[in-house]
Amino acid sequence: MKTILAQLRKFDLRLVLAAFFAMAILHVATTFAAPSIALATAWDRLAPALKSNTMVVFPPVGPDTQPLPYLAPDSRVAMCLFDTRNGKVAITASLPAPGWTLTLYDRTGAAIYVAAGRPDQPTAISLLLVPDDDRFMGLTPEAQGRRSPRQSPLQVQARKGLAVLRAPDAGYAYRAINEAELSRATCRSVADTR
Amino acid sequence: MIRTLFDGTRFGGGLQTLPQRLFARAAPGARSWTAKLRGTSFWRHQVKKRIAIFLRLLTDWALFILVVLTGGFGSAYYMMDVGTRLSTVTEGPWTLWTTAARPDADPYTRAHYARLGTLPLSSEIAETWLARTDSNGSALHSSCDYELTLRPPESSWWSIAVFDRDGRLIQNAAERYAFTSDTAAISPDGRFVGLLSRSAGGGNWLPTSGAGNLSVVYTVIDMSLATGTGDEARDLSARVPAITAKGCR
Repeated sequence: MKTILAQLRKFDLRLVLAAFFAMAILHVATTFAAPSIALATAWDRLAPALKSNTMVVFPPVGPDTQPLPYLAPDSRVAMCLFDTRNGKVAITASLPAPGWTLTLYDRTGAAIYVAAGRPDQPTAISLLLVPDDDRFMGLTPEAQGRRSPRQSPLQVQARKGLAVLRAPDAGYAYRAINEAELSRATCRSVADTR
Repeated sequence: MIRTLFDGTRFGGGLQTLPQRLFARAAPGARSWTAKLRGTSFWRHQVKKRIAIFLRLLTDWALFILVVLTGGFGSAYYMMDVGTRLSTVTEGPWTLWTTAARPDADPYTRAHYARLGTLPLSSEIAETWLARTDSNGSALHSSCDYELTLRPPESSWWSIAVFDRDGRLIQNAAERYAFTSDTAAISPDGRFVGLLSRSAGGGNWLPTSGAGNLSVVYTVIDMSLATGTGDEARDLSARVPAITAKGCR
C-alpha cells in the first residue's frame, strides 16, 4: 500500500487535473461536433437523390434498395426534401391507420414535428412550413379582417430538412392501397397560401 | 559536473579550472569561450543533460497528449456508440435510446444517430430497441440459430427486423427481412415466436444467410407513449423479445 501511495505521490496533481480538464473539453467538443462532421448522415445519403419540395415515394425497401441503414422493409416510405428559403412549403398527408407516421427532421436528424395514425379514425395532416427567420410573410386573412377560405394549416418553423411519411407493411393485400395513399401525399412550394 | 567545474579539465597541455578557462583573456585571433568549451567532458556532460531533459519533457508531453486523446475521444465514442444510463435504457441484450429524434434529445443521442446515418422514429410515439447479443450476452452471429419470443403489445403496431452488423438488410432468396404485427403469425397462447436461422424454418423464420454478426431491431409504435398512459409501467423484460440461442454450427 505504501509503495502504491509513494508511486501516486510521484504524479504531479496539477498535471493530472489538467489532463482531466483537457479530456473533458475534448469529450464535449467531439460529442457536439459529431452530428456536423459525421461522414454519412441520413441527410448526406438522401439529399442528392431528392428534388426540393417534391414528395417522392420510394420503392419497397430491399437489400439493393435500402436508402438508409436500419431502414426495414416493414414500411414503405415517401420522402420530401423541404426547403423554405424561397418561401413557404405546404405538406399534406393522411395517416389512415396505426403505424402510419409523418415526421419532419432537420438536417441533423432531430425530429421537429411528428404525427402518428390512430386506430379510431384517419388523421389528415396539413402543414405549412414557414422560414425560421424573422421574414415578413404577409398578413393572414384573419389579420386583414377576412375569413380564411379554408381551414388554416398548422404552421411549423423550419428551414431545410426531410419530411418522411411511413406506411407500415400490412401484408400483400394492402400494398397497393398503401402505395396509393403515399402517392396522394404532397409537398410543394407555395407563393401564398392565404 | 561539480568536479569538472572545480578540478578543471585538461586544456592546452595543463590542468585548468573552468572559471580560469572561461575568464582567461583570449589572445587575438583565439577561439571564443564557447568554442573552447566544445569537446570538453563538461560540454559533453551538459549536452547529454540537455538531451535527457528534452527527451523527458517530450515523453511527458507525448504521454499527456496520449492520455488526453484516448480519454477524450474514447469516452465520447463510448457514450455515442454504446450509451449509458444518461441516454439509454437497457433490458437484457436490448438498448433503447430514450430521446431518439426528439427536439430535446441529448447530444449523445443526436451524435449516435448522426453516426449511424439513420432517421429513427421519434421516441415520443415509438420505441426502437436494438440488440446485438443474445440474452446470454454472446454476439448474434449467422452461424447460430436463435429463437425470439415476445408477448406483443395489444393495440400497438410493432415490427421485428434483422440486419447485419452495420444495419444492412441480409440478402436471401425468401425475401424475408422483417415481421410486423400485421404479418407475423401469433401462437394460440398469444405469443410471437420467431426464428433467426440461415436454414429454412417454419413459422416466423427470418433468414440470416452468411451475414456474420447480426443486429435485431424491435420497433413499437404506441400513441400512448405520447400521452403517458401506455406501457411504461409494464415490466421492461416483458416489453422486449427474449433472444435464446438454439445452437451453433
